[in-house]
Amino acid sequence: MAVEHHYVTPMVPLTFTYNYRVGAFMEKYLQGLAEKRLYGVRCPGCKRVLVPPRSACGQCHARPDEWVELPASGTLEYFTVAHVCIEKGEIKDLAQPVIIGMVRVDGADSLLTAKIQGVAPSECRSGLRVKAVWKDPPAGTVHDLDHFKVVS
Amino acid sequence: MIRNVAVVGYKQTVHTAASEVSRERMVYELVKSFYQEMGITKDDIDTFVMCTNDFQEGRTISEVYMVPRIGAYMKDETKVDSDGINAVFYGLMRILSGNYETALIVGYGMGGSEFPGPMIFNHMLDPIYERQLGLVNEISAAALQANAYMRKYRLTELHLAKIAAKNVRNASRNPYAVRRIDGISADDVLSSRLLYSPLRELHMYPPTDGACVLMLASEEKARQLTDTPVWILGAANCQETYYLGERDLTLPVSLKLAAKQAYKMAKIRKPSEQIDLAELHTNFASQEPIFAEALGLYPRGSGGSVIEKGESEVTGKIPLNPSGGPLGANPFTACGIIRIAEACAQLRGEAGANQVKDARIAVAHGYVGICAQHNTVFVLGTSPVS
Repeated sequence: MAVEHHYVTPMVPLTFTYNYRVGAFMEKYLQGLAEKRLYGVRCPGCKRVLVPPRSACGQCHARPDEWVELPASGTLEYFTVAHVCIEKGEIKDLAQPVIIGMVRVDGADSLLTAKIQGVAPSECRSGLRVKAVWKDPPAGTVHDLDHFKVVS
Repeated sequence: MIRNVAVVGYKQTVHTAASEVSRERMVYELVKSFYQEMGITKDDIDTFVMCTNDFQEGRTISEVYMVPRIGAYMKDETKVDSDGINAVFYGLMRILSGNYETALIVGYGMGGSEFPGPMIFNHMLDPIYERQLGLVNEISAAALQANAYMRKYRLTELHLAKIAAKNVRNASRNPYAVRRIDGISADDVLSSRLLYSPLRELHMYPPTDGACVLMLASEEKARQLTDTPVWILGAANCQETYYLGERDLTLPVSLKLAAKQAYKMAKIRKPSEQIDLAELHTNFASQEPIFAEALGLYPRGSGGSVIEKGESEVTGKIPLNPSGGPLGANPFTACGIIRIAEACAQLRGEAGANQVKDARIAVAHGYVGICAQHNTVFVLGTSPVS
């Protein structure tokens, strides 16, 4: 019987860059971050305050039009301790674990995803009070809100 | 439904971590042998629906190479870029239109060997926010979801490990599964690689190469083609916001609504009493109680007691993933088609060592999107809706 060879093309790269317009709502959010301020929007239908701001409320099919400045304080709702990260699709071990949390900023009806610091991973629990810590100086990107620090 | 439609046949590959042959040959051999077993040719198929994903293929119009392999040459053919269960949904609609009597559904995935699986999931994130932040991915999102459920309903890490072990044990008795670990215990799960707490490697689907084919037919055709048609009693889908922070992660409302509509079509009034088993698109063990509860199969928050009492086992009250589910094999885009195929295997008494006794009505579920943003539910039965 003939031996079958299974040739593999080792690499077919696929690289290109998109220049997305972030839209007026995210633009204002990013400008807020550059000033160490956190903005959300209130939906005229359900009255929920959404952060990051959404230019359309799926629930009401309405355009939230009222800007709300939110405080830097909030409560940790859910979290996971990351022992790995995903780099170009590969799962890689982290040298130090990182806490990823979902934070309910006071006055907001949606949660923000962010890194959580100031607590040992083994001590982390839902319900902790947290405070936003900004990158200094901020640069007007999503990374300006560097992490939330546990204050209680 | 305006006419009865049945699944008349199905076949899946013996899934692997790395296929030795190309995806084209894998799909050709699967579909060709399916035709032979059914005693039909491509001329017996009125419409073809494929399911692929342009990112996982690395090209657009990604089904194009498969057209000659599945017999769709010079025929009516379309593609769904989603989970395969929506290709079945599309095939069903085409037969319901009255213009087609038969439909062939094909899905395949090469996430085991051709590309890193987590890659395509990172590309479904919001590019201007979550992808920039680099914190949310398919696994970390599922871990946050697991944490939300565990906190609310006091599900322990041991419960979670037992759910994973139950799935992998079932998979070990499934000749098509890629992850087969005989005698796997909760301890084995708890000692596997920690990814994002509480999720470990054995809580998650394995990288898989594989494919699945499924054939649908109108009632008249179905009765000619097989003595054991499996009837589609109901089918519905629903989707919710893509942003995790606006959802109740412990209850996918879209799944609840899709189930409600599918049950209405199927005249199912008490799913927990009328459904005999469920095949769920659980990419993570933690999703099993969440999905089963949204489907109304078990009471909310009962995940811990269900696994402790063995209710979700093959011999239990309502078996969940008797095939082992995606924890046994998950060829992307074929996964939802396999859920329907495995449910049909149960209803036809073809499920071998994992056969559920007296199975008459089954639920099959598929999803796409982070933490099951878009859900599709099929209700299948051994007799059509009266």
